Amino acid sequence: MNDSFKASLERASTRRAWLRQGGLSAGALALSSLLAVDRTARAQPAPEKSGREQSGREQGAGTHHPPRAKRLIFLNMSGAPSQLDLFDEKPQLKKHEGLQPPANLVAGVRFAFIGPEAKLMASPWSFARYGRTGLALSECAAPLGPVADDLLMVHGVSTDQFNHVPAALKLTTGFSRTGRPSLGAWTVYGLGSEAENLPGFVVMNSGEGNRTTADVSGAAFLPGRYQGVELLPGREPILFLQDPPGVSRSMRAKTLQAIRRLDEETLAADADPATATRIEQYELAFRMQAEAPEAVDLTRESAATLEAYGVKPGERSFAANCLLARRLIERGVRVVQLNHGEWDMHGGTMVSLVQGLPEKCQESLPPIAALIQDLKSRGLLDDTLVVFAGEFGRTPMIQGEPGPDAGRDHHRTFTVWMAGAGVKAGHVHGRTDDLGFAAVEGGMDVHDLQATILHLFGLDHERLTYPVAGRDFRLTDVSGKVQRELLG
Amino acid sequence: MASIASCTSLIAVVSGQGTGPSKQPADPYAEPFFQQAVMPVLARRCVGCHGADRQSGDLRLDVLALGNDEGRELASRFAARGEANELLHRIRSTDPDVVMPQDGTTLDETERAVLEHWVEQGAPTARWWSLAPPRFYVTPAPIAFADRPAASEPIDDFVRAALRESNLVPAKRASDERWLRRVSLDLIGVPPTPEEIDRFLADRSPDARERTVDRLLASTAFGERWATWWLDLARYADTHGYESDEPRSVWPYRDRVVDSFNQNVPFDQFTREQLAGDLLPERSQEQLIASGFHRNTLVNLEGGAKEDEYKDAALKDRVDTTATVWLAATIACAQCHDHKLEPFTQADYYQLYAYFQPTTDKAATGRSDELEIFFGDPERRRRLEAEAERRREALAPRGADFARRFEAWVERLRTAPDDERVATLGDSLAQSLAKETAGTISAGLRVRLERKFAEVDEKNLALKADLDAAVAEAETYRAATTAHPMVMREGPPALTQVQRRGSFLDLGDYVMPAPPAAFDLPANEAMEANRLQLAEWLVEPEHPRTSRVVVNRVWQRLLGRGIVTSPEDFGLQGAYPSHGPLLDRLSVDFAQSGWDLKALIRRIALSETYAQGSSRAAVAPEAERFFAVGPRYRLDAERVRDTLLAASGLLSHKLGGPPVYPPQPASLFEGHFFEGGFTVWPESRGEDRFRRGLYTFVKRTRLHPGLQTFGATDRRLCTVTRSSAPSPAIALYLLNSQEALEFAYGLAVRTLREAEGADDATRLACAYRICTGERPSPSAVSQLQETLNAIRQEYAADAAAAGETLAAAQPAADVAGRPDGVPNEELAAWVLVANVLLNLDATISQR
Repeated sequence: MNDSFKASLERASTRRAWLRQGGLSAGALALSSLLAVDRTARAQPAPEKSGREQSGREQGAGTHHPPRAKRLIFLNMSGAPSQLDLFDEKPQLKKHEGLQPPANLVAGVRFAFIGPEAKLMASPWSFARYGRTGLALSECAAPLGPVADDLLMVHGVSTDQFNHVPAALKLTTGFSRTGRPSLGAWTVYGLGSEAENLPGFVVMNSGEGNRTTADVSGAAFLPGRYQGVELLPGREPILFLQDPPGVSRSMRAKTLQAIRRLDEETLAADADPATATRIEQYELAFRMQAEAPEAVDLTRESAATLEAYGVKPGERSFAANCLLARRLIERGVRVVQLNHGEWDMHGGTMVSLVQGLPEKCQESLPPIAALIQDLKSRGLLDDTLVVFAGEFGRTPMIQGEPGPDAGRDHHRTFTVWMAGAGVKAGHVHGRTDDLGFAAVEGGMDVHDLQATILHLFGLDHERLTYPVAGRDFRLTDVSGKVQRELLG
Repeated sequence: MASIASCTSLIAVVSGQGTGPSKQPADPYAEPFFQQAVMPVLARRCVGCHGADRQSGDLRLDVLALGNDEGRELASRFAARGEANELLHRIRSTDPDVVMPQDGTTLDETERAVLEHWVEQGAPTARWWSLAPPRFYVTPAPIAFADRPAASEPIDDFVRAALRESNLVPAKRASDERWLRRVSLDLIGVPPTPEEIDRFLADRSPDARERTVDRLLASTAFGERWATWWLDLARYADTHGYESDEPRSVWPYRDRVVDSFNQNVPFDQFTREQLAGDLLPERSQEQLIASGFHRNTLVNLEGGAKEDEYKDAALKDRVDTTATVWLAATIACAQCHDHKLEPFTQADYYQLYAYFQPTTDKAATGRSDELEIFFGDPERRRRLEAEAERRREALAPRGADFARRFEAWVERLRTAPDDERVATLGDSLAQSLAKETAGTISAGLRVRLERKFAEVDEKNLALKADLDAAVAEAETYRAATTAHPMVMREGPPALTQVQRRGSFLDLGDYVMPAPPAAFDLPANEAMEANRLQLAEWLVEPEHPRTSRVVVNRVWQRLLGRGIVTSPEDFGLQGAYPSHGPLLDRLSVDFAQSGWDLKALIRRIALSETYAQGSSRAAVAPEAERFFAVGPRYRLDAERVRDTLLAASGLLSHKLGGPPVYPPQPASLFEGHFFEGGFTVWPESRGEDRFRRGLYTFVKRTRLHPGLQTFGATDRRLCTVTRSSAPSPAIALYLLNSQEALEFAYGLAVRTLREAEGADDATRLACAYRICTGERPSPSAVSQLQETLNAIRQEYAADAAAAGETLAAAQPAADVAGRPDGVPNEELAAWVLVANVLLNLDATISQR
């Protein structure tokens, strides 16, 4: 600890700063600013560009280097798919099946349900090679075979959370508790939105028991316009798009102008940023009325496209959401996040992995493969980044009894894959040990992953910050390192 | 160290002075550096491996926050100087086998600095504030700010002492209109009428505000407003949840909550009723209904659902909800293993579970433990039942001419050709009759023939049909006017076992009902260890949590922000109170007042802190955290609806009763509901279409968009704080929904009537004031005038469009009527201007 640092600590004490700083989280966070911790890369001040709302396009805080990716489709596989049964082939697990793992591998590791005595389980599915690069995929993951050469497989990503909600928050917001902006919100904050008539960040949910909360796509303390806007499943993805009977567009425009003028008076008097957000959202709502019905109308797609994705007209499904994602991306939406639940396969008295995974993959992976192929054929994959990730992985050890009810517990090491803009396609990065416990090569944590994703968007994760109560917050909290080996 | 300890000195901590109790517990806010900075680092980084669940290297760090001998002894080890200090050694080491944490993460520089500083100061510890009983803090010396009178409510003295310390000043008082609107919205959930505003502004008496607060507290609308808070905690809904999500008629529970708040049932008694109303001696029916608090758990009525599995889920939800509602504790984590981050063991969890285990209700295999409560018109029911009875009697003697018709029928058949007789009577009876001669029919045969005749005689059949119709009508009416609130019932004592890894199929040690040990407050052993004992334990005056948790949530609802900003979590992971001594003083006063909720609300509502202006212009960034500025936020779902309804003049003041079905898009009810659950939304008409938000039918799998859009929850689980996230969906709802149109129609009609004959500007100002509680600026009026004129022109050019707009609003016209002599184009133009006013930030915000 250097002397000036020490001195500021003393000052913090004598200034009765603890009381002043209030709540615990704020207190602990404000500490860093009180202490004037030296951060070499300071934030640029948060821009509040006036006039931004007049043009629909949002300028964003600005990039730090030329971006490779311009759009993000984030496949948030809620519940945590089993990397060992899909992507990370472990022949040694077969050999040691039924044995307890070496003590040094489980010492100090926390699991949600199983204890250190749980035994190893091989994947019940065989793996085969796909594509020019010979990517290993299990029988369950075979639907991804046709796009194997487009994927960048990243093994050995780790998180420090072992329960769903905190881990999902960590993955999406960089912090295990609520209150931080999501990856999507940060991305739109950084780059702005290209869609004049649609939200910059759209979210869709599928899968019963989706363990996500609105926070995984929230704006937290960023201005509300960066919040993910949810599309509902069903015939009307966005409710109330139609003006009431007898109300013309020009009448609506006049009423909106009046609302805006009067709200601006309120804003001038009260200076509440929430009012400014409301003003913008009314304008966006007006423009969405014009464009959104067409954007979400899947009947405009050809029968061949519908079939490729596995979309049945009028039926709500993950496949339909994948197709909607492409339509939205085409129309300038910056980030589409698909939260897709039901991957949490513990076995025992809970959902069985052995029985559940093939069905889940059959529902989920063909539409994903179709999406990647579709993006590619339209030339969109060059600057669209697709990320597939659960909030954590699943254990090499069994949960429940061997047989049809077997499952796996939560595990802090997992596999993420990416495709598209700027990533090293057809490449496998990182390696976990022979039993799949932890990375032995190329390991990274969630913050590193986030830093890398932001980097692809031309954003420096240490400089993309927003000041709150005296501290500059960022997606990667206080760590994160861009993984250059992932870049193509 | 002294310098840090003195942090709280500005809030006078004086034992044996003032009016407080003479026996004072220790200062819960001692060692703020340890509590605010050190313990969070340890909890976040270390306690996972060195906590209640696991003690790697025989080290358990969460005891530092327990303030016991074990904690002090451990702290003394950390205070060691130099190389001997293992904590410093471990966090500074560069040896990967030595450095902590060992779970692959690393401390950042701030965290390490905090721990080093703490060690340097001698590693002081204290019992975690919310594990220590609340303490009576004497009011600090009043501080008068330059342009402000000294306040009399201790709240203001506590708040100002902290402001002074930070060189901040409180905001100026909000205007009288603003204050009246604020307090009306907070206490009764609807804004004041222009007449109420005028009356208040004209009232120059010094106690005008006090009388206003008392008037609002006495209104039945008070209970309707505050019930929402409790119904979120109680996860109250009108359906069973799970996939099939059938309706349940449990609204008497909701009405009991409304009544309890209106009657100001003391919160300790309220707690007993909610948790154990069924166990109270000489309990009333209302108290039994109140025990439905924990029957709001989900029920799975799908075939094949296993009772033990779903009952276990319900019992766990009861434990988790109880812990969240009264203890602000995240004890749910201890289901599967000892809590990794808080001092709760798995045994603690199942000791709480044991309180609920003997309950007899079913969670999967059918309905259970329901009351039957008739709420219809008793006269009508009696009439319908009497009519059914009359018809039954008319049928019994089978009509006056039954005998005559019977004899004629028998005689005709006796003499009829064989085949006709057989066709009517069947073989056996026909043969018997054929053997008889006239007038000699035996008694046995007569009975058989009479029975047959009753089946074929047309007149008799008509009487029977009449009877069936009357019975059906009476039954339909009875079913529609009978609620079945689900209540708690205690079965025989049940043995509870710890569930290994949280699985009810994998049982371990036996446990007895008991509260968590970490609170260091034993349950009353003179009582039977049942739910009533648990309730009594929760309302012990010196309980470290209950009074603080309630005070904090009430404060949050009034000031827009809690003293503890994590109102759902007072544990080591939660936020540290911004004004601990104030929280404690209010909590001690609250318990001493006899847990008087209205008194608590009253004193906060009458404080100067609450009365401050809410403009954020030119206030310090910390102003909100220090309560140096009044509350400002978008209203919650129910208050948005109720405010719009009140402005529209359509609001029904009907209190209680079955839930209602305001309109929503049909597409929300298409194609994803199981049979058995209802698939059609039975849209309400007339008065029930315009009831307050808390009466809207809560379907768990598909919440009404008028609630959902504004952040209401689906009530599957206990909710402490709703999302207030902004969204363009809010704009679309307020602009285009059927409800928005009807509300606007109501406001248009109200405006044209209330300012009859006045010019446009007067009318516009009147409507603006109805919505916002204030007079519009001249520029606002001219903007509205411009809009009105432009829309008039458009409608004038397209008369059919005006007709369409008004036709779509017909359900509102059914209730509000239509002003005489106003042409369609004029009325429709006013409807759109009303729509503007109902969309304003000033209308749907608390400010």
